[in-house]
Amino acid sequence: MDKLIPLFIVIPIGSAFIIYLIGSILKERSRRFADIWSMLAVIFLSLFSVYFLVQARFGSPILFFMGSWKPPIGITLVLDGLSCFILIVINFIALMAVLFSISYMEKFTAKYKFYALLMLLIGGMNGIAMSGDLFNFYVFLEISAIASYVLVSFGVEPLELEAAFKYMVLASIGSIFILLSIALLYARTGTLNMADISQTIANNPNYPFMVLISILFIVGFGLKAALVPFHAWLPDAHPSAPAPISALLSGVVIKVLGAYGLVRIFYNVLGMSHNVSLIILILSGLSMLIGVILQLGQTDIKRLLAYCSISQIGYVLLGFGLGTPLGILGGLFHLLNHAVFKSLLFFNSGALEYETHTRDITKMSGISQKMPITSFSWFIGSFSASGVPPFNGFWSKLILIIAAVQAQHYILAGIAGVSAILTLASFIKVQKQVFLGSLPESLAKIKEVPITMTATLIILTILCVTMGIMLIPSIRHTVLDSAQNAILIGTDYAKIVFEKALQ
Amino acid sequence: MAFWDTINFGLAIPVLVPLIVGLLIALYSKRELKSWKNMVYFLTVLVTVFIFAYTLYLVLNVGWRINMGNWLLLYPFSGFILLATLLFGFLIAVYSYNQMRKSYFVYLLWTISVSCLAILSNNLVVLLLAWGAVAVLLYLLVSLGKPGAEVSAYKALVMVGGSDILMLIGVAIVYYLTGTLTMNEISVPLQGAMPIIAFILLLIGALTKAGAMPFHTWIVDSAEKAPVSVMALLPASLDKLLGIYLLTRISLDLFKVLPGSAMSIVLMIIGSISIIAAVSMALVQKNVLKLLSFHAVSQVGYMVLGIGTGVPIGIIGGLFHMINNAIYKSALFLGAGAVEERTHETSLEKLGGLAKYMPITFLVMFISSMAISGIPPLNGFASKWLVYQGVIEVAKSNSYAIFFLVIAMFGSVLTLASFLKVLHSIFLGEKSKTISKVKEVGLGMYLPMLILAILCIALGIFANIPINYLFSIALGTPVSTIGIWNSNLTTILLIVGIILGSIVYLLRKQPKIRTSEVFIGGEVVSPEPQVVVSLPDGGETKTGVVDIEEAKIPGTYFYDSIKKIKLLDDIYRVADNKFFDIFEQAKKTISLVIKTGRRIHNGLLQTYLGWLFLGAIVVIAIYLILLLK
Repeated sequence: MDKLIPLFIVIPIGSAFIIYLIGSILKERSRRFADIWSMLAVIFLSLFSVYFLVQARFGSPILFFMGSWKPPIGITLVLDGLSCFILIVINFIALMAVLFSISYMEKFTAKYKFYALLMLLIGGMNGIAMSGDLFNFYVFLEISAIASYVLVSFGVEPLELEAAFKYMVLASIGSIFILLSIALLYARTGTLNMADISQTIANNPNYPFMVLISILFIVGFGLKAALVPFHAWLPDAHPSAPAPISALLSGVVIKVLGAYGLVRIFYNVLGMSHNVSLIILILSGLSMLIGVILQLGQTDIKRLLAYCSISQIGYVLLGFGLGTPLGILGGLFHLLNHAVFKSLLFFNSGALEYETHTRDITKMSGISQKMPITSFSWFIGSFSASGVPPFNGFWSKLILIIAAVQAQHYILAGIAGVSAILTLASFIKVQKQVFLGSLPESLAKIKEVPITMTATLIILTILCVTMGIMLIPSIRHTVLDSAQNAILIGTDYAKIVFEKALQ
Repeated sequence: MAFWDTINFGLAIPVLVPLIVGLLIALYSKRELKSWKNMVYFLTVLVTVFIFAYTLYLVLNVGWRINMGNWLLLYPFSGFILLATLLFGFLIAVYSYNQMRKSYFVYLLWTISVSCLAILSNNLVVLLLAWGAVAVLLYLLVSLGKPGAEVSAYKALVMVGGSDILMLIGVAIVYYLTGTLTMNEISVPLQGAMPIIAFILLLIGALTKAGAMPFHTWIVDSAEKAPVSVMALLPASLDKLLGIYLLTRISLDLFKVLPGSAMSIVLMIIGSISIIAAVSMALVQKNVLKLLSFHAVSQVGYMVLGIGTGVPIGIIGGLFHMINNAIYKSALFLGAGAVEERTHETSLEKLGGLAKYMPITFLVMFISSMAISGIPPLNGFASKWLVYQGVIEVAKSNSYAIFFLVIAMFGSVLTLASFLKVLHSIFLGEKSKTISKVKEVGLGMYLPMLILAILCIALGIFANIPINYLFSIALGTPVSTIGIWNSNLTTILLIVGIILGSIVYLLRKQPKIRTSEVFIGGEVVSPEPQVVVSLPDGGETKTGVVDIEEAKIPGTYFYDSIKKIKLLDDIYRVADNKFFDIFEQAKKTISLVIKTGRRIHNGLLQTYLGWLFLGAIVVIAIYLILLLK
């Protein structure tokens, strides 16, 4: 099975081409084909990633050498605990997005183009998660980024095009920062393989450009992760995309492109230093607080969720910035939880828009009478997001706050607490405005969304309620611990990869 | 089998049974079926009876100390609170016959379940879980009320849920300090910054739930719109029990608040401010539910004051007051609910003369009004007396405590004054013309009220039994009081007094009837308006008109004349503008920040690019500063 790991990249990217090819021949008649093909692809990918999580024990990573060229010469794919964890998050949320799209995307033309782009996005992210060398990392990053630019503008309304343009310009600058620092590293070490770079740097730590490289990486990945003050593109871009894509962008893309990149580069390649972690902590504290305060002022439901993502990514990076075992555990767990509840909330907003044709919360009222499932799942999802027990967000925030107190970052613990309160305030306000109260005349005809959409909502709602069980030691051991260990080994990553490569 | 051997699984029954039954009711049918209503009602009552009886059986047969692993622990104190909780759950369930919605019963059962979990929990995280669940259910129950209830529900959840999150930080600090989450293993001396911060964070959680000032505004806002039985269940009884239970746990077990220490003074100040400020607000309310809700805040003051003294007698007083308050406050809310049920009216101005038509409700309201005002020999007096004793005990070494004593006593007087207004406006005088036929409420509604009223009397007369028996085993301290107070003697004296008075009344000749001007509270009543209210636009409007022909004198404006005092008038005006409401203040501050945020998010790409580079420069600056250090 180990030889099959390139399938994580081959299948989605191959599917993208196949769907596009068939679609361009059959045009609108290809709708069902595109639905079924993409569904099968993401189901396979999800099962495949779960298989690796359960089967592989990740004492050592699984390696795959392109064309059998061993590192540092060839291109290497590395599947370790962290990659596998990220792969599960990507592919599971992608599965949900496809399931939701079947009905939701019916109103758009050229559904096959949508699926082709979606597959490209997934393929790019899977590639990032497994890439063992920096150049491929960058290539996959660009594949997924470009796919997401197009997906944001998929509705081709003026506002969506504007948002996509802004997103493209700002995200490209982020990419340039990352490319520049990769170039600087290459100039210094003469290699692009992550493990090799790590060893070269470890052997000769005094390198004048290291500061610049670190800063370029922080800014570049900070922009991809939408940390304050690099967040400006997100509130425009995420709401403009179709709802399943918004769910994927907010739930997964910012984490894979931003948080995962940051963690992989700084923990496993460059080695985490006190200064870097302090900068990450400052940025994450700012994101948590500013994101949620701006969230409170929104009346567009998807924009509100977008600001919430800024705040929540702050929590995730708070955990990684602390760098303690408990902090990393909390960060990973919150990453997973956020992916679940934020995609749920975006799907919810999609369901609302699907029925009411508006995203303005002041125009909606009393919807729970007509859409009980959507209403109930919003209720659970927003409680998860605010960290109300016993839903999943509570557990990860609990761990994060305990970790922050343990690391004696009391101010950050306080910010995390206050942000959680404000998140609660913001979500309950929406709940009050949109779902409770009396139904206006104009919305009298709405009904519950189609079955594939409600199925998505129900699955994610159940996860929100039950994911607290992840902390039961035996389950945690399988799901979270191997990812946590992959981060905690730090620059020993290189040693492990080379040991495995020489076997 | 090992699982069953090692733990006392029976302790989970009060938590699991209502949870599961609630779930079954929720799943059974999607519709709000009328035909199932009776079944759901009886099932709910049955469950509450069962778990109450079961817990009683458990306590009496197995003992007052049972634990289920490190998770749940029943010890005398928590057991007592648990029994009280279950009793109130049962009474409210009986009262809820007229509730039409199935979801109400589901939430009611779940509320009882998670409250039991909160009380039994011996692990801080389990406590947090249950605590949060109570807040969510409170939100759900309040939003079942009249149109517009969702706004108050929103405020309630943000305040209570927000305080939970602060508690979470408190728990994190406690865990950091002690390395354990098992509550009965934790004992942190209140010294140094960290323990004090942790204590304050947990205190905020407890006080918000109990509704002490300045975290009280959610109770007041919910009062008008929420279903009345919900007010009687949560803010009036269960939330008080939980909040004060936690307050006691943190100030006696987890941390030690010593008499005369800074934290003790803080608690006493919070207590006295709650007493006096809330009761002053209650005096001028025009809606009976709102008035009661301010008393719900005011009475918490006595409990906090009592526990804050840190001396055994004060603590016992505070705890006894908690039980007593839950009894008479829910009786009052249920009574007001009965009035609302029959008249569809809660405004004091529009009610009147109901004593004739609703004698049982009147009797219950009368007894519980006297109890809340601390009239001997009712229960409210007994517990207030103990609280005063506690404060005097502290005052022996710290003379400033006398000040708290004066406030507490003065608050009690004002309580009586405001309840005279309630009784007069609802039950005495002439019936308002707008209200047509009124008759007494049904058995299901007055039975719980009567039980509560009887408890008011019984706990007052036989106050020594609960004080000596239950609280001594709960806290393990003997009780001694100063001053002469013997409830049995007093009761006998009182009864003798009543008999003597009646004899005198019967023996004397019928007096001549003297006619005079109608007056109230020393002020002659004239057809002129009693109160002139200034409108914001500069004009004036006249309210409180007395209709001499109808002989109807609305009691609504009894104490409005205190607003004529300049300083008080200002304070009331500021309070009406919600100046003291931390929720509204926070909202204002944040909306200012949001405005600024909007201005800088102008949507221009150039601006955003500017930030990006500015941000990059700042990061570089921070990095270099760190490097140079």
